[in-house]
Amino acid sequence: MTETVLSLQGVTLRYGKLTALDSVDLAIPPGAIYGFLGPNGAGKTTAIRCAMGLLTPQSGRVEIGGHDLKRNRRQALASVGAVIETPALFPNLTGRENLDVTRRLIGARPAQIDKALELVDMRDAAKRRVGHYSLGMKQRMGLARALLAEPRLLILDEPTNGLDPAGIRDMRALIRDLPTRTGATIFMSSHLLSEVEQIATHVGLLQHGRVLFDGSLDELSRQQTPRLIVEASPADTAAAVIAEAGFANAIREDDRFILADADALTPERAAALNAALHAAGCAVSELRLERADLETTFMTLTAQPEDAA
Amino acid sequence: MTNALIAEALKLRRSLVLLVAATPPVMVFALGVLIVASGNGPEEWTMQTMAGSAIWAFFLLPMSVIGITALIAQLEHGPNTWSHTLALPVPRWQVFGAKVLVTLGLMAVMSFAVAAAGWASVHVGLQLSDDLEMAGQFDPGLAFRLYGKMFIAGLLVMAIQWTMAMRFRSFAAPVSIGIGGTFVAVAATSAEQGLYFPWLMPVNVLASEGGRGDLAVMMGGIGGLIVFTLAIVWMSRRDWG
Repeated sequence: MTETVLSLQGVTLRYGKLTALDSVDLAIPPGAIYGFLGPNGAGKTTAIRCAMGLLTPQSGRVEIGGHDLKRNRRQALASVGAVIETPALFPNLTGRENLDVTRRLIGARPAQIDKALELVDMRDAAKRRVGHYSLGMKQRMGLARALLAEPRLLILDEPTNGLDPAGIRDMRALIRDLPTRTGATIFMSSHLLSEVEQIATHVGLLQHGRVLFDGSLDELSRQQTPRLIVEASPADTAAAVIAEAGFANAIREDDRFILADADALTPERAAALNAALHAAGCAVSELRLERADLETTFMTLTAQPEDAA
Repeated sequence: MTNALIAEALKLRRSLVLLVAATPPVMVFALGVLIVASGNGPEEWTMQTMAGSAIWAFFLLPMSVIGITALIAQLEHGPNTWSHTLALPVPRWQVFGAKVLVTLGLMAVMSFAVAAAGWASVHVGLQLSDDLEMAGQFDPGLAFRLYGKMFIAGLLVMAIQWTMAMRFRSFAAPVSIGIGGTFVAVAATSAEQGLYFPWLMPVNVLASEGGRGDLAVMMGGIGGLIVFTLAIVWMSRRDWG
């Protein structure tokens, strides 16, 4: 059995007739930056709340670091740091005081506060009241608080939500470096596909409370059939050449062709097709083998483009 | 548990809770000085102590409980820190238990401060009016017994208000309950069955009928402990979505 830092096994949560989570299975391997993707309302935060023991599912099991959350809540949560939804801090306290409240509750050493502040580059602002912080600073301070326990697993719920582009870039860089600097596995939810694609090693796709995919980015991209995009004229001649070359399932849009025959799409076949088109007198203005990005894959899997960000 | 208690106390820094806690003693002092200096107050120390405690039991205590419990709960509800606090590897009963102790500690300090403010207001009032005197002597034992019994008798009201304030994100529900309870208490002050109404239990400490005051202390104290315990157990087990 593969080692996991966090696993959800058959987690189902219902609110009356509404099924918020439907037999959710997730396995987060150690050292990963796991992007938990889904449109707004897909159930990401609900799943995170279940993983943190804030919500009790009707069925299923949550394990953190090998500890069953229901039976050994304290041991399970001892290795977790989390920022759930917006970074909820006490606005009447300074950043340092906020960390001190949590430090005392979890019994961490006082030196952990400086270490955590250093990691998120917030030492200078720690003496200011949190009520005067910008959202980006609150996010960083929330992250510092989550790092106090030197967690093996860091759960971040929409960590870039509400940040400006510069703030998003900074937060992304910070998250990307965290596994190296702290040894923590990152589990971050987001509805921003591009965000996750840039930093995640693994992804989980959730829609309507169901997991559509759970695995590495490579595994996900292998699920998406590559496509060969060809733009050539005259289109009728090109269509004949394409058919003669043995490409099935060609979709024609004027003089543009989308070839989605998974078995036939190799660089060699593409080059051969190019040569055949030229030989037939076609002017080829575009010929490109398109690898699916995360967004395309997500759209394909969810088949509801309007839901995605 | 000590760590949880310190953490809860830390959260009070620069909060409105402390402002609300300071208001009753300041009001009692200011009003006491004016009444004594104007010559309209009791002219005997025992009566003065009882009159001061009556104002506390009847009105200021329930109002203070509303404000203190609502604001302590809002420290978590406001910035939505429950999901952080309750996801920590700390027994939840300790978190809620610490909140109860902080609430009770503040109410105890306020009781003491109101008693002290009553005593101080008489001295300042007498200084401002040369021809007035207070008969007898201030009896600290009597003040301690009165305010102490009122505190215990008020535990049930504190527990009800605390539970409502922690449970509901909006402060409208606990404040409405508190105002309603205080209003009914005013209307039912002299009712025979008023003894069993939680908001009247502290007032009944002053009852002259034998045993009525002790019964109020017993019911308020035991009832308060039971409600606090049940509330801690319930909140520790419920979902916090």
